[in-house]
Amino acid sequence: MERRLTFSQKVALGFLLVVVVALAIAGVAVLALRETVAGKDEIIELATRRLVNAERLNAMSFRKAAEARAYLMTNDARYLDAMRTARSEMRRVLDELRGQQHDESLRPMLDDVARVEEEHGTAVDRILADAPREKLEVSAARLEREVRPLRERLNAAVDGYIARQRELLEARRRQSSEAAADASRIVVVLSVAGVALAAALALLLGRMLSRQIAGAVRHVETSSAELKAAAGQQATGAKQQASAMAEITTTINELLATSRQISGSAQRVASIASDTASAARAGDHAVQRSQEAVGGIRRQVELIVDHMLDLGRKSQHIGGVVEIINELAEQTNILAINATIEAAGAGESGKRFQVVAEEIRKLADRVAGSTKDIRSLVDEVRAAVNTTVMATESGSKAAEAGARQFAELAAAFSQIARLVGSTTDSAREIELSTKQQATAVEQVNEAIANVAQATREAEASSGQSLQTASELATMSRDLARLVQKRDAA
Amino acid sequence: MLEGTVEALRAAFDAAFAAPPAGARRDLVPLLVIRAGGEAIAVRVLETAGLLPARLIVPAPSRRPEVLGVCGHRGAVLPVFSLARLLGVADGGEPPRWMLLAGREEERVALAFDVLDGHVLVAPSALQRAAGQGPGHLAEIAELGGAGRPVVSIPSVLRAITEHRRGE
Repeated sequence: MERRLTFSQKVALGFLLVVVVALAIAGVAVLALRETVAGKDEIIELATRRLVNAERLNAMSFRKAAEARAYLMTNDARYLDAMRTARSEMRRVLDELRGQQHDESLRPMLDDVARVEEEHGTAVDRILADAPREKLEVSAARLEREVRPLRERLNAAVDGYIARQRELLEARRRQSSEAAADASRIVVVLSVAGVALAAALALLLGRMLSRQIAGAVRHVETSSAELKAAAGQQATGAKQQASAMAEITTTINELLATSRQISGSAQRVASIASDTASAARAGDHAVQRSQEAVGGIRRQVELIVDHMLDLGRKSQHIGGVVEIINELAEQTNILAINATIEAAGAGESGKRFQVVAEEIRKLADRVAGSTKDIRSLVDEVRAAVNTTVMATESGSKAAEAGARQFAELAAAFSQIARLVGSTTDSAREIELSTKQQATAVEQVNEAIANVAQATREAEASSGQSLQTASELATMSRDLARLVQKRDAA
Repeated sequence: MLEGTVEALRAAFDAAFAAPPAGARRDLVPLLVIRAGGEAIAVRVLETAGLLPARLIVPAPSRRPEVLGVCGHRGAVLPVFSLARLLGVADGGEPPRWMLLAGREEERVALAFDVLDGHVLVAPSALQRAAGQGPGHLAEIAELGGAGRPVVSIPSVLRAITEHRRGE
């Protein structure tokens, strides 16, 4: 429970206990003072009002006697009225004293004074009533004789009362002094107890707090050392960060320059792409014209192929005719051979026919040779026709392929035009994006500059933290020495 | 070039009528250059009775492997023999395209062969007797184009056919 209280709570608790003790002392002192004041007030009351009233009784007694004698001597009614006033005043004082009286021992004395005063008044009234009829000397003698003892008794009663009152006053004064002395002793004892309690609390709090402060100081020492190391690392890191920020700034500047170069390049690319789109459209028109020309070539090639095929067919006819001629020549040759044989079998008459047959056979041989040449030529023509047909067909196919390729080329040109348009748009977007990027890079550069400034400030702050950590370590060592000295003491 | 050939043909034709009738040169020997069963041979034209294409040969049963069948020629039915088989050479496998007529009219036979290379006239000096016994029917060697070609003796072939027939 004690460990859960904080330092300020413990100090506040100690001060609270001291304040409670001080309040107790103050309460006791206030009570004692109040009692003392009450005693003193009572003494003052006794000394002022009751004692004064008692003295006033004495004075009224003397005044009443004096006024009575003045009346006897002058017979003036004003002295009689004054005597009666003094008498009534004395009775009022007596009544007031009776009302104020708390001591039972004084009440019989006041009754005795009232009774004597009554007797004295009665005696004075009786003499004063007879005074107009008697002589002054008689009245004086009666007054001396009848009233004097009563007046002396009255004075004695009043003096007794005053004396008793003084005794009571003295007793009350002593009682009040003793009460004040008792209160003083209680206050002293309580003060001593409070001082002892405060000293004990101070010692307890001091030890407790010394332990805690010593522990805290050790923590502070450790923490200050760690803080110092961290501040050193932070300073080093801040320096490295500042260096890195400088490099980043350089890189960002290079990036900014590169972005501007890219922007310029993108602008040039957009311009070139626009020119390329125009060229692609022109190429598209040229390709369409070329495609039409290729279509014409294709038709011409097909016509050539038809002619060549016709030529091939006619060559076949020629070959067929040549075959007939060859067959005829061969048959002629055979007939000539047979004629030679028959002529030889005819003897001498067949010799001339044998000559003719030989001529016929030679002619047939020549015809066969010529037909062989013709066949060779026809074969060559047919081969040439076939080659030409194949070449023209290849040309036709090539023309078709060329037409297809031209169509594909036209489509490719159209696609190129579209793609170049897209490229133009993309290049413009790249240009715009690069400009935005350049703007962003400038903002980043500015932010980097701010960060660099913050880093320099952090570096300075780290130095300050390092210094503060050093000072904190020194302070903690001083505090530790203080605490250790106190513990040693 | 063709015009020159035409001119040459025309000149030769005209020359044939212009020259005196000296008759056939009897010192030259006409030969038929043929191939039978892949064998290049020659035949004296005057030993034969005619040459004709072997268009229709009707197969006929025979115990002789040389007999290919019969054919009709000018109202007569002639036996057709394979010249290659008669010479002891294997056939080429293809039907023969030509036939030689040989023998007297009453014993005439047809000798079928494959290829007719041509008709040539050679000097008698170009014909040499074959050295040794030879294969039998090839008694001469003709010098044609720098190469020797056996010349089939048709009378020998006919004798062989006739002897065989008589032997049956």
